[in-house]
Amino acid sequence: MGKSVTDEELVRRVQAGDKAAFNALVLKYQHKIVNLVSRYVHDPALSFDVAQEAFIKAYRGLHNFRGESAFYTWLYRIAINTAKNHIVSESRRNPDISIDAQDAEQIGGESALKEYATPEAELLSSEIQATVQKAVESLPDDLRTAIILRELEGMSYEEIAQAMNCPIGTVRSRIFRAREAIDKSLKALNMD
Amino acid sequence: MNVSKNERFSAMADDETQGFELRRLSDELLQTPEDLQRWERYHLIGDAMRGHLAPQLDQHFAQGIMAQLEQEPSIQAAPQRSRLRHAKPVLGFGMAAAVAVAVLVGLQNLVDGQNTYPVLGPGMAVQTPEQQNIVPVFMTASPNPFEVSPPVFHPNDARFNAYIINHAEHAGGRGIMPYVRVVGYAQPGE
Repeated sequence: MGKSVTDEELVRRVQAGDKAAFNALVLKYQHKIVNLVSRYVHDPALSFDVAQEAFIKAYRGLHNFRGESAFYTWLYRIAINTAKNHIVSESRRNPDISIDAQDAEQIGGESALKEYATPEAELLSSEIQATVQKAVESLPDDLRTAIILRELEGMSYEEIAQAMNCPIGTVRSRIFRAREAIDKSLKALNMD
Repeated sequence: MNVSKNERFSAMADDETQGFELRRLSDELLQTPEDLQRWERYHLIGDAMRGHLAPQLDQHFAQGIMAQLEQEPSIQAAPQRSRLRHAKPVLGFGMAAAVAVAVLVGLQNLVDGQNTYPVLGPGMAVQTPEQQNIVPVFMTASPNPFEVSPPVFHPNDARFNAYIINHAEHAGGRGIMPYVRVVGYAQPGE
């Protein structure tokens, strides 16, 4: 995964003083960052706080971001450092709990999440997961293949066009129609 | 119309738009709450398909961040050094070219055996072609364009060349123009 031109555009706008562009970046990366932080900080409520802190640190540091690395790798680094700092400060506050940041890194994300997430939280998460899964399965073949190649395999439109032997415009349309169909199911779920 | 706009948003979420289209879609995304919600759901679908959903993460998470950022001043990026970085090779090339021209001119004079320049004197300041006894050279088109005539040296040419260089040194860097002279002679019988 290389640099994202969309991220670069949004970062450029944040650097020009547009805070709304940072909101778009938060909405894009919130699940990934919370998931990443949850591997270090196991309490879900605390992991949200630490993830929020990481985003705020990123915002404050964006004026120094030169785009030499991809935005998301830079953001991930900030999130990991924030989580590690949180662990260290927690262990200082409560010396009975000895947490080694190195050990925390070895903990598998998914198992950690399953262990610490509350039943209600997990219910909503698994509901969304199941709804999306069901919606994907019910898609016509060509739409399902296109969205799976994009989201699970991370292929570009050009690569998908070659794999499916169709024009790029068709790939673009198929992925969009697949998303719209899944989105319709999510709206019915009423996540708010 | 609306459908095609949403299709472009879908492509933008996949990083498959650029240039003007990307800038225009970014404008719309940041100005329209519905577009921003759609943008969030498109990414949520991808995260859910990959099994990367964070439990119970709702809109309050992002709202909390933005509420905190409301208190912060808008950031202003430090001036980019990349422009200078791009200009450096051009400047370097320009300087190298200037040095190369200077070396070539110097070498040419050395080859001609005229590496000592006469000091500009009052008597040399204004000289007519007759005084210098310069013979005009008439060029004719060669039938073979690849045939190069051997250079014709006149004893006074080297001296005049030295004078021009000396003049250029006193006149101060004006590029190659001091080495160019435009002369006109009356044709015999005019």
